[in-house]
Order: sequence, then structure tokens, then C-alpha cells
Amino acid sequence: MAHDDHTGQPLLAVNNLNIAFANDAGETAITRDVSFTVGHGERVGVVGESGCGKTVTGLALLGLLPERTARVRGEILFQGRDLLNMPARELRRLRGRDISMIFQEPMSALDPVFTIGEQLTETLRAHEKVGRREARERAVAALEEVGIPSPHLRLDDYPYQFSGGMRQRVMIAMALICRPRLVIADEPTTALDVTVQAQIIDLLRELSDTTGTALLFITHDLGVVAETCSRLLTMYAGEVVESAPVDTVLRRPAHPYSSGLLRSLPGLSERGGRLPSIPGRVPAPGQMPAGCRFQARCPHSADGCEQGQPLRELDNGRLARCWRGAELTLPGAVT
Amino acid sequence: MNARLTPRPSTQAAGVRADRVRVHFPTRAGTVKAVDDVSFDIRPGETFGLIGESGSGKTTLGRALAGLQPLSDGRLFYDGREPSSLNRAERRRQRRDHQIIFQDPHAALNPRMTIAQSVMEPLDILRDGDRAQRRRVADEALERVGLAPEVGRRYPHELSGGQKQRVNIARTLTLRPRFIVCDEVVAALDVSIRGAILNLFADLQDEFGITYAFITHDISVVSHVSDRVGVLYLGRLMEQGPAGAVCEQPLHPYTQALLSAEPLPLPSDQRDHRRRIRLQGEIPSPLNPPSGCPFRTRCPRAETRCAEQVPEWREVAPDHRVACHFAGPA
Repeated sequence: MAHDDHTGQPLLAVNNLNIAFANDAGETAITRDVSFTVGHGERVGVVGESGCGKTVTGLALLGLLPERTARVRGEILFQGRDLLNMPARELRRLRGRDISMIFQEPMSALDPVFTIGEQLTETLRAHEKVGRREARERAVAALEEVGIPSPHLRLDDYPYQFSGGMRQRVMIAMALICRPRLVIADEPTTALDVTVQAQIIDLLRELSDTTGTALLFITHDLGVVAETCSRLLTMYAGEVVESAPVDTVLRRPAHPYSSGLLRSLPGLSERGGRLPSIPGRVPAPGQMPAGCRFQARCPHSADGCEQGQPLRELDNGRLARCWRGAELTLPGAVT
Repeated sequence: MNARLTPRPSTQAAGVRADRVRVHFPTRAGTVKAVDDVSFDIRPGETFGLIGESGSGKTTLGRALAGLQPLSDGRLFYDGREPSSLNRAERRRQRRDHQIIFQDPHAALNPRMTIAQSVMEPLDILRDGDRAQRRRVADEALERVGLAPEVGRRYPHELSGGQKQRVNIARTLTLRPRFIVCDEVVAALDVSIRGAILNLFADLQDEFGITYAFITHDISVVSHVSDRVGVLYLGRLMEQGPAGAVCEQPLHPYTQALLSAEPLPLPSDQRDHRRRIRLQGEIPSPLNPPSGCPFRTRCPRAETRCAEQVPEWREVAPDHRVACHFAGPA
């Protein structure tokens, strides 16, 4: 495959990731058997309703879930090495250098009492042997790369002196300063205005193209995925229910949930007409039905849906967790 | 005055007119002109959409329309009359007629009250009918928004976001309002259930004769639900007109940029031909807005004239107004 390096393995391979949180009553399962890959330089979008396990999965990849309560089982192979069995020291070295993260709220992710120059050089010097002066030069270059005007002057400013969009640019600069192989972006544009969101989307795509950094883009916005990613993972109730090239899903989704999400977008139906929506709500963790987790909300449920649903392979490497996936003709965003 | 949820023709919905409305907030650093010289009219029974990014003044304008925010200057007319010209009884009636629904359905509900108590509270405050009657109206309202009666015995934390927003709608409905300001009412909801809530708003409008001012930053939502649309930027209206005209053939460079910034869920081959306008920078501080046209610092068509002269609010086609010296198709 084009996205694999000479060793033939993907950059990231997540296999049967099960995440649960311990509580008084025992454990509550959040994700079940989540498996996917991200190729070198590939941009993969992850969509789903709130509570479907997108963010928790992203945090687990970096080992950022609370150690005392989170139970993470399965395999997270990054460049062939399992992050779940890696000593904490090594994982810390890898985090920020080889894999980094961009969060939704740049104001709470940046430390308000340090200048952004201090925060950028701290990241750099934690991972690389560079002197003060060189670190500062690299920080200026990183800010310039993300489009911050007069970066040498802004370096000594504090986060509050930046606007929302500029802060998100600083976050991106910080995530990319060590040239990671993989960036996990969790709703990086959700807090931004639409005109600023468009700038940040363009920036992320361009930087990923020029540096060859792979992107795992967690979002609820299918429009954002269409503009940035080549492959889409749809998650529902803690499971991956579909994995396919973005253009394929937009034309002909293979899982009724992906189709329902696409049909719910107001921009796609006639002005003033009835808007489709998905009835009901996501089952609460710990109250998952046997068999297909979407069946109670699915317009296509039939005898057979009460059986456990594995991710089945359809044509062209498409995967769908629906036994009727090949047979149904589901509407997408375009007809 | 006993509220029953009987249907009402849309001709009895309220009409609203804003005439050169200003809302200014004095701060230590200077005056924030949150809403600055804004005029428009909302016709009885229609949905008037107000689009704007953060800092555009859309929420302040919404609060002013709902009577929650005093004006610094300008006038608001409801059915042709100013609130100041009404007597006490009339003003009470008008307060009841004009309601607002907020963005965060959870924050709008008291966590220590049952759903039924929350829905009945407005009638309790107005001492409208006896307890049994209020209870009946509340039950009817809950049923009308698609919630089972037993939901009334539950508490907010037991409901989903969509259900809570239905509760907020039911509570407003008990008062039989004729005008509702909807401030980002679906922004906090998942995409999968937004459609159902927007459909509910449309049904209630037809059934009970309600006028909506629909405030949102989401262009796809506003273009879907609105009859007419106003586009706000830095406290001023940039463009206003029929929803179809504004969303399909926008004439103001800001509206054009806003529409082209919306990420579309279309396959790559259907997206590339789309004309894209990428704005530089962000909305300037409302403490120190640019001279002349507020949009000129980010406008691809700006010329020296834009810094010197505030563009006139002119009608370029029937009911289609623009504030731009160089307005025209993209």
C-alpha cells in the first residue's frame, strides 16, 4: 500500500482496543474491540456522536487516560512497538516527539503563566539536545510556519495576548516543532469561528502534506473531514462501525449510522423541508444491547441484527459492522 | 387568562421592527459597540435568521429583541408599538408574548426541580389558573414536544441534551408566546438529533402562529430554517434579504466569504470547482473597530474609500439590502 513504508507496516495499528473505567460497581466499558490503522502521512478522520468513544480512544493512544481508573487492553502498535507495554520513561520520550496532540481548547492547553516562546522551547529541549539560542530560532521558525505575523516579536507574549485562532496556531506549532510522525487532533477547530476554522483546516492540510506527518482527526463535523482527510472511521457506542475512503462514504455509506449522520446535515436537504434525523439516543455505557448496538435506532434493522456484528470487509477494503452492509443501498451526502 | 394549547393562526403572530438600534457597553478600556445602528423588520409568522461569528453582536441583539437588554439608542416596535408606550397590563402581556430559548439546554433548567415543576414555573409565577389547570397545560406542552408524561417526574440530569431542549421548548410553549428569540438552540446538540428539533420548531410555528428570530453561527442551519436572513459583523448588519437570495447569491463580500468558508461534506471531485475566498485574520476587537466599513480590514475588495466612508445601508433588489460600496456577485 502507498501509505506503508519500506517495512510494509502501517505507522499506527490499533488492535482490539478495549477501554473501561473502574468504579464502585466494577468496570464500565467505553470502547469495544476498536481496531484501525493509520498509514505514513495518511489523514484519517474519526466521527461520531458525543459519547461514542472518539476522545477516549485518542487519549489512550498517548497514554493520557487516568492511570488509577482506566483499564486499557489490546494493542497500540506505533512503528511496530506496542505503546501499552512501553516503560513510562520511553513513552514520555515518544510523546511530543513522535506523536503529539492538538486539543479543542487552546486556552486551557497552554499554560497562562509562561510565554509561548518558553512553552515552545521547553517542548523542543525536552526531546532534542539544542542550545537556548537555537531553540529560540527554531521556535520563531515554527511560529512562522503556522502563519503568525512577526513571530520574533510574538515569542515573548503570553497566551492571553493571542486571539482564539492565533492560539490554535500556536498549539499547532507546538505539536509540530519536533516533526512528529503522527498528530492526534481532537476537535481542533470546534471552538473557532467558521472563517478562522477554514484557515486552520487549510494550514493543517498543508503542513501535513509538506512534513509528511500523519493526522488522526477527531471531529463531529463531516464537512471538516471531507476537506482534510482521505479515510473516515465512523464510531458508534464505543465501536468502529465503518472504515472507508471519505469519498466512498460520502457517496455510498455502508453502515446505516454513517448514512443517518450524513442525511442529518441541514445543508443537504431542501430549504424549509423536513430534516431527517436519527431517532432515539446512544445507549448508555454499561447498558449496551446484545448484537448490533445501533439496531434500536436503525431504519433497516431486521432478524439477524440481534447477533453480534463483526467488522466485515466489503469491496475495496471497506469495512462495515453491519451484516446487511453489502446488500443495502444507503443514501450518502450526494446521490 | 387560561392558557390552553389550542392552535392559533399565523396571522396573529407578532411583527417586530428594529429602528437604528444601538447597544453600547461602557468599559474601562472604552465603549464596546456590541450592536451599532441596526435596522430590520421581522414579519408576523416568519423566521428571521441572524448569522454572525463570535463578537458580531448577535446574542446582544437577541437579548434586546427579547426585552432583556435595554437599548442605548434606537427603537424597537412590536406590532407597531413601542414597549414604553404600553400601560402596565399591556406590558405584562407583552412580556409573556415574547420569549427566548437559550443555547445550553442544561444550564437553562434548575437541577433541583423536576421537569414538570420547571415546565409549570412560568404559569406559577403568573398565577395563571389553579394548580390542576397548570399541571394540565404543562402535560399538554410536554406531550406536544414529543415527551412522555412520566418525563415530568424526572430531573434534568436524567435526560439527554435533545430531551432537555424539548423541555425548554415546552416550558416556553405554556405561555403561548407570539414571538420567540432562539439563540443557538441546536448548537449544543448532536448533528443526528438537530433535524428533529428544527422540525419541531417549524411545526410549532405553523400550529401556534409564532414569529422566530433565529440566531446562529451555523450557515447551513440558518439557510434551512429562515425565510429572511440578516448577516451581522462587528455589531452592524452587512446584508439582509430573502434566505434564498442571501445564501445563494450573496452580494456582500463578507457574506460571500462566510458561505465559502463553510466546510462541505462533498466528495473531492465535487468540491474543487467551488470558488473559495479565504479571509485573512480574525474579527477585530469591538473596542476599537475599523473606521468606515467594519469589514474593510479583512475585505478582498477594500479600497481607500472604505476607510473613509461608512457604507450606506441600501436596497439593491426588492427586500435585499447591503452595506457595501462595492457590493455585487462574487
